[in-house]
Amino acid sequence: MRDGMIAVDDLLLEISDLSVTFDVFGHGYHVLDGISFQARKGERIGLVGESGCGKTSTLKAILRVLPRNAVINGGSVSFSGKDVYKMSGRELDLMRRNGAGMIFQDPSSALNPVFTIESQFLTALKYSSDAGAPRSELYSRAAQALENVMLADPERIMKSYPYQLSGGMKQRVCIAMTIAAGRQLMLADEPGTSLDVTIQDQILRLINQLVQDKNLAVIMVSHSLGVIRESTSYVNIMYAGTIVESGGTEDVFKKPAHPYTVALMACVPKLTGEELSKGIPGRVPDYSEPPVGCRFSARCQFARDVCGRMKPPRTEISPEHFVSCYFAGEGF
Amino acid sequence: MDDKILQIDNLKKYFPLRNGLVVKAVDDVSLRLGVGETLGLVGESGSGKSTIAYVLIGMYEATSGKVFYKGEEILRNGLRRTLKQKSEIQIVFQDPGSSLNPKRTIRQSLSVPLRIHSRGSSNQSLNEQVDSLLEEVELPRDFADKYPTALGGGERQLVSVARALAANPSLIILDEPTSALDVSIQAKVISKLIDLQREKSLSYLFITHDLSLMRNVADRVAILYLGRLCEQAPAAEFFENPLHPYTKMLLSSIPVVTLEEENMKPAKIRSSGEIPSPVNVPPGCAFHMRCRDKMPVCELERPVMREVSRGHEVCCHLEI
Repeated sequence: MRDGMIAVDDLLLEISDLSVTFDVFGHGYHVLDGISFQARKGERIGLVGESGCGKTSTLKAILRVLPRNAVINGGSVSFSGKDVYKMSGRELDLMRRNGAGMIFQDPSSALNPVFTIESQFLTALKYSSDAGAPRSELYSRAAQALENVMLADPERIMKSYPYQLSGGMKQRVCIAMTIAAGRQLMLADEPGTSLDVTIQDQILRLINQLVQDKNLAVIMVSHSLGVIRESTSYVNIMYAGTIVESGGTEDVFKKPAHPYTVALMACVPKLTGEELSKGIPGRVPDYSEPPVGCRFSARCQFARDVCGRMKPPRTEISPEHFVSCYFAGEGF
Repeated sequence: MDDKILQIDNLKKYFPLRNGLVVKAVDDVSLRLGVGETLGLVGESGSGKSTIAYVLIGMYEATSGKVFYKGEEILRNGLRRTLKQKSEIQIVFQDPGSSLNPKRTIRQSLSVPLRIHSRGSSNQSLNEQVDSLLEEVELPRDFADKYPTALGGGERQLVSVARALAANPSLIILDEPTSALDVSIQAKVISKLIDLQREKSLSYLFITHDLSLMRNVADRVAILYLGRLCEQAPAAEFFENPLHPYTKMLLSSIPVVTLEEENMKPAKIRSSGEIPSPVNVPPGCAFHMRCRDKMPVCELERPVMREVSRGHEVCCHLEI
């Protein structure tokens, strides 16, 4: 997929060396540090890491909806070749209307409880389509989108209030609202986490299907390594605001190379019953004073002097498999 | 009888609604738990897992059924549990953020059960007892004077475990103790729980929706669906030879991280449908609407639990 055969215009999203600091009462919290990845049409990109590692901040940075106290202090985000942070108000609007949309973790709070699905769906569609489209056309487009996400009986769904639908159905509605406007980039922030495992399975399958059918790109954010393994083609492992390892999903899961990735995998309970590790010692670093070098160095059992002092280079240990570690590929 | 610490017979808990309908949250559940054993009670949301926990600690009164603790009946209506019985069964809740009082220091929170159940030797002061509790869960002593908000999620959950230990229990009900935590923290808490169980020969009723975690933790696994048991078996047997169609669907839905695990999943059972409302449980087998092996009898007759091999029970009409 990534051998240069793909035309340049397939490149939807490019984030390079993005760094973000949150200003809290005059103290800087360096929340993202040197985030880089790309997404092309038809690709499923994963961002995986534990709470507070900057997954959601990355998504918000893409849509330029970070809170006001966030400062971009390096790097760039470009969507369809345009720098998101240099876009005019109109261009930005256009990107959010037809370019990129987000699916949130909790569909119950993503939908307004006091309006019917019809009312909120059509409002959203009105925003994202050309002015003056008749309501009947919007309605049929919404109904079509509901059918695309395998909701039987779209008319009943349209008449319902969110509380009348199950969690899985609500999440399908949210996905339908994202795709109905013909958006090409889907930002999925833990789309199955608040759902039961059999329902999550169905939602992830649906997203995969839509990516295939409509040639979408999806950025899938999850704290669950399993979800990422089963629903992405390319994965970025995040730790404390940095990407420590990235590569083809199969490759990274077969041969994890960064000490953090290895340690994290050992913490995941497995059906095969391998003994569980005793966790990763220590805590996530303080974002106001993160280590100058590798952010994982203080918790890393293989760390040497250099790790805390200087940022490790991003090393390609096998084709398209990058690891930010001085001792990458030495086998931990 | 002697090796059983807990025996639940045909437990039912119905919640009547105002409109005359009834939510059958727990419907005819029977379970056994041996001394020093961990029973994993697994189910999706709304399956009645937590209701069972609340009945066991006396927060809810059962509609019918019997519960024996060390051979003594503890659920008879009108029966007040003795302080001793209360102290023997303790619970750890899912969200340590809301189960610890934010206005109390850890010391204050831990002192309450210590004072009520007057644990340990009397020559130890309350403060010393708090210190030794924190030591048991490997938390630093200076945590005692902190407030819950100053602690991380995993640390708070260990405080909840310490609070349960304060009553010197034999049985701890763990109600999704790690589902709000990151996996690296979960691993830490789980390994501590396993150590404590060995040291104190505790019995755990481990309630969870995370089936793969049970592979590491449970001695026996029981699956609940809509308030009814589908299957229960010793853990090793359960994962090697799952029999109930719902168990198979559950297993095949779990996102896994290795190829070996992928191969353990029952092949190609695609999850479909959703758990129906417990107000309106389908007649016959509760799972028949989502079951791909459904037979005519499944819609009409509720299957009964039967033993198919030693300790492996399944509630299904299919020939197994």
